[in-house]
Parts: sequence; structure tokens; C-alpha cells
Amino acid sequence: MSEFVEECRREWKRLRVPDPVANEMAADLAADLAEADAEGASAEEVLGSGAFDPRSFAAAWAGERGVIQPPSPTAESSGRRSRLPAAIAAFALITIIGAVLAILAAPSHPARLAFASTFRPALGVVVPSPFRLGGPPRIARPGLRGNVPPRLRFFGPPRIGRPRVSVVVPQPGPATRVFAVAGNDSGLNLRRIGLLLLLAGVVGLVLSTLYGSPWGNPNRRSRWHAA
Amino acid sequence: MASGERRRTELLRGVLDLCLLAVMQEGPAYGYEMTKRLRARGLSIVGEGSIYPLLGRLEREGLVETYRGTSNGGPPRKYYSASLEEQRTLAAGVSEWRAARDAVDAVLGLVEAEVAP
Repeated sequence: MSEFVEECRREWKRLRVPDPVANEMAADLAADLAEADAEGASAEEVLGSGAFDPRSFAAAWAGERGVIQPPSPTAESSGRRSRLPAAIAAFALITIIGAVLAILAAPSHPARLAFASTFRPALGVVVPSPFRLGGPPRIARPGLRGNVPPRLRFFGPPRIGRPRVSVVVPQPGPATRVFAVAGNDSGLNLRRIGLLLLLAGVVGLVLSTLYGSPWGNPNRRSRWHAA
Repeated sequence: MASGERRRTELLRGVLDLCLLAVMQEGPAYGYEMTKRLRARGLSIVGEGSIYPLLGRLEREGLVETYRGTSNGGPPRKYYSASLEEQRTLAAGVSEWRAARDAVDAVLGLVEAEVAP
């Protein structure tokens, strides 16, 4: 009998029935079961079919009394939701920092990133950049300068006769190598990339701020209005 | 569950609250005391749903009034007593039950007469 009551208590606790109500129901149930037991009546005579399923019995009783605390629809997801704007903000800040560094590191002459196929070293190709504004994409010609090892090639327009300083970044990847090439006629503009990253970072920061504010989050907005 | 028991359960489900309200007319009673009153009138809830959820619903709907009291020196119990609203609900429920019973009897009564020896 007491085991049945304890099982009911556990179910009421799980259903967040207020303690005073749960205590009252448990006390009444225990007293009724004890009286029935003293009279030789079975639990089924007191509880009906509920005697075989204490959890369902407890849930039905509390539900019909209207004492089950409904779970907050946002309680479970509020933690997740609150972490999302923070993650976006952190990412935006990192992006902004990276953008500022890229802008500061950019030389007065725009540097570009070029991609060359390692499988065709004699025909290095400067990939046309979507950020490049002027002129059609150009095919660069590989060449050698000074003590640069043969495998490190630089790319530049053949019509410019002055020596060009190339920063060669060999990548371990099998397909491509990335070159930062001094010049101004093709490739990705580091300053422009920095500016775009800065813009993306600012947009991300604004979005994360809006998402975390009462105006950007419907749940927070409803709570704000309710308050 | 046999079909006969299932039918009995279905029939009782619709009127068990009226039965509880009816036994409360005798006076305030706690849960098990109402079970005993039902049994004394020939209605056992063995195998049926418990009366406790029903009492909870009646309480929530304001059809019964409750208070805590002792019974024969026993532990404090929650007593259920009839409210004014309960009287109206019981009267309306009994009227509906009788109408339904008469309608069903009008159909099944003929069948019973044919089957009876």
C-alpha cells in the first residue's frame, strides 16, 4: 500500500505538483488504503483499475484537479537560445578583429591571393577574383627570380619589367597552392577582403544584438510585454 | 477485458460522476467512504476507473466543496460535500440519464422481450 503511495508521490513530483497539494493527496490516499486494508478490502476496491498503474492513477488525479504545473515552453530552449546570440557575437568579434588585422597588414599596393595548380606548374593560373573590379581575369606566367627554388614560382604579368617581390606560401594540400603576389592587376585584394570581413562582422554583431534583445526575440518580447 | 466488462465500464464512465454527486446527498464524505456508499447501493467500482480523478474534476469545476476533518479518531481526511451548483448539475444529469435510459430501453426492451423465455 505505502509503495503505491510513494510511487504516486514520485509521479506528482515529476509532474511538478505543488508539495502541499501532493502531500494532501498522498495523506488522503494513504488513509483510505489503510482503512480499506483494515476492513479486508483490496486496493482495487478503493482505486478501481488505477490500482494496477500508480503512475497513470497519480497523473489522472492531479490532471483532473488541475494542479499539474505546465512546463514552461521556453524553459528548455532558453539556455540554447541565450547561447546562440553569444556565439554569433563572439564569431562577429573574431571576424572584425581578423578584418582589422587584414586591413592593417595590407601593403599600400594591394596584395592578392592567387591559386595555382601544382599539377601544372608551368602554367600557373591566377584565379579571377569575384572581388576584383577592373579588367578581365589574366593568365599569369610563371617565372624564376634569383635564388627562389624552382618549385616556388611567382606569377605576374609579363609586361611589367620591374622586379616583383612574391610571397610564396606553399600549402601541404595536393591540389593547389596559395600565393600572395605583390601587384595590382589581378587576384584578391587583401584590403577589400578586410573591409568585407569587417562589414560581415558588424552585421553579425548587429544581428546578435537584435536577436538577444526583446525586439529581436519573440519569446523575450512577449515576456517583456507581459512585465 | 471481456466485452461485457468493457461495456459496463463504458456505461459507468458517463454517469459515475452523477453517482458520486448522488451519494454526497447523504452528507459529506471522504473518498473511501463514497466508495463504500456506492458499494452499499450495489455499485462496485472494482475494475472501473478510480473515483479520485473524478472527485478532483468535480472539485476543480466547483461542483463540490471540500474541507478537512477527522473521522472516528482517524487521520484527517478531505471531505467532499454538495454545493449549490452540484444540485443543479445533478438534477440536469439525472434528467439526461433518464432520457437516455428510456430511449435505450425503448429499443432494447423489445429485444429483451424476444429473448426472454
